[in-house]
Amino acid sequence: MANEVIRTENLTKNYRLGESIIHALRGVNLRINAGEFMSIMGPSGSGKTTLLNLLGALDRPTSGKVFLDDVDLTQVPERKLYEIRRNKVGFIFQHFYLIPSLTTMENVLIPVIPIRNNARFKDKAKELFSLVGLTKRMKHKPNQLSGGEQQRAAICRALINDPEVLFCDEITGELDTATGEKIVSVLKEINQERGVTVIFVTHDPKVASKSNRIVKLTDGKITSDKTVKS
Amino acid sequence: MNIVTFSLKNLRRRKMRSALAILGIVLGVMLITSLLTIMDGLESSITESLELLSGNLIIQKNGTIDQAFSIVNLSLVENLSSNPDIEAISPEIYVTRMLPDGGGGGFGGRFINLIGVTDSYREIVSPEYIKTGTYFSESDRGKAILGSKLADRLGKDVNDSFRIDSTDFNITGIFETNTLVDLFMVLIPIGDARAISDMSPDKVSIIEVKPVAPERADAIREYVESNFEGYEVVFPEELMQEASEILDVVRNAVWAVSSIAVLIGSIGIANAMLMSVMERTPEIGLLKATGWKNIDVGYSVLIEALGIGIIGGLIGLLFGVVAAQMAQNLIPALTVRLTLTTIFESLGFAVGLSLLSGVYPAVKAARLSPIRAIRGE
Repeated sequence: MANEVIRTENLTKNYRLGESIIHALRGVNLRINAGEFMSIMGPSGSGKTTLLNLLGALDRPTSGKVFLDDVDLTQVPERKLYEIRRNKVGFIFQHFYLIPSLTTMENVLIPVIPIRNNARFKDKAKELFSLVGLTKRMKHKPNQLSGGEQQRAAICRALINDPEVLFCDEITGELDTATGEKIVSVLKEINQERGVTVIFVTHDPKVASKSNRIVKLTDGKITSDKTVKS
Repeated sequence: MNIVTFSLKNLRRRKMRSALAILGIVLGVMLITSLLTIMDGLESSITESLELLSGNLIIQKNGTIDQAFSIVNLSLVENLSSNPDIEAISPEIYVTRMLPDGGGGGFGGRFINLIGVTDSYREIVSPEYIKTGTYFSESDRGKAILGSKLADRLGKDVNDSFRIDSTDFNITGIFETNTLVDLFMVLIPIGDARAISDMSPDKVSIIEVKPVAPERADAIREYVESNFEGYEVVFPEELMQEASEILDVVRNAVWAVSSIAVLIGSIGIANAMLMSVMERTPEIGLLKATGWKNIDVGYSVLIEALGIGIIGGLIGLLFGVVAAQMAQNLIPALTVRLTLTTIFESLGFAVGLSLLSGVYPAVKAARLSPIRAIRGE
């Protein structure tokens, strides 16, 4: 039996928008195994990003449960959630959120700044740079990098703490097609070589076509869940 | 990199805003430092002036404020000379005059204290009193000993002369006490002082008395005040007490004014930090998404505020000392004195207030929800 890394039970999430209540998720049941390379697709407002944020301990559900490594995230107190964010998951966003005044190297080390004796992460960062092909750009500032390079830096930042799951929120949204494909293949490599589970939220069918599982979300519900042989 | 270096790097990102926030603190601390150094200078100068009397007592007319208006019977000297508690007695005549040529300084005329003394004056001051030249003799006429700073201001030296009323005075010596006295006191033979002031031959302004030992001072006071009506004996310590009470009032006023200045500066910090937190909301969201604790984020904002306070405090301290020095060059009567207490007080004040003004932005940043912050909400 494959090793289950994420499980949700009847996950719902409501937002208040002015007077009305938005039902972003209406009972999502999902199991994700370690090492999967999957995409969550769906039209705007279908709840993709909301689901990703709940899985990655960035947000809390209205009801239902999220298990990450058999730990019920809904039971973890707010002040302890940082441990999950720091050690278990990594996020990559559409807008790279690199800090413009810091070098690429410094940006990659941001997650470990609060950790004592963090000098040891420098070697780790160099290793990741060579993995994504960014070694020559370590000392450059983000504005000296192309969009693809910036996103690769963001990947290194997400990987600096050896997460089990990498969450990618529309990460090709600001990149041209060729660059986007390169980024996805870099992630595929990381998935295969390191066994990191990668979960995409995407509009882009080309990204989805690279994954071995596609979950479709419509109006806050899973409407299709296909495993693709790759 | 740790949170401290990370935060200080953040300060450099918005150079103009950080600079303005720092400027606010600089002005406040500069005000505190310059006023306090001038206050301390004044205080120590007064203290030293009184220490110059080194335990001497002054016998004067009851209720005298300015010794130039005191009148004492010279016969008192006779009465006291046999007192075993007294080592030396110096009758003195005080005359206040304005130097006709102004004496420079850009403030119009210069008031000086002419003090007519006898030979016994040498016995009540310290042996190193005269810096250059010599004492005149009691029987001389038209001789003077000037305070060193006054001599400097007038551009006079030993053997030069100057004129008061219609009398020419030849300078025989320069004394130096390193106090305010150097700036306005001139010793002349008592006969000259008597002539200038029209004081009758059996009177003087005050009698200065040196006790055989400091602890005999009380006995002398008791003897004088119970045997001779209309006189009082003043201890320099009492004058010091009064002066320091007045200075305390001034010091409190100085603090009140400067506190407001630094307070305004710290509002500037709070404003700069709030703006910076608001602008960087998505970035703070990212920090939290990558596993920064709330307290890490808050700490980082506090360090930034503290950085502004420390930098502003140090620059303000420097500028304050320079400003006080400039004030001293402009107004020679001022002395400035930078004490450790002043350094700690003004820096501590700046740092404390900057921390305080960082608290609200820090708490605001710490409480941001990672996902809403990333979306810039």
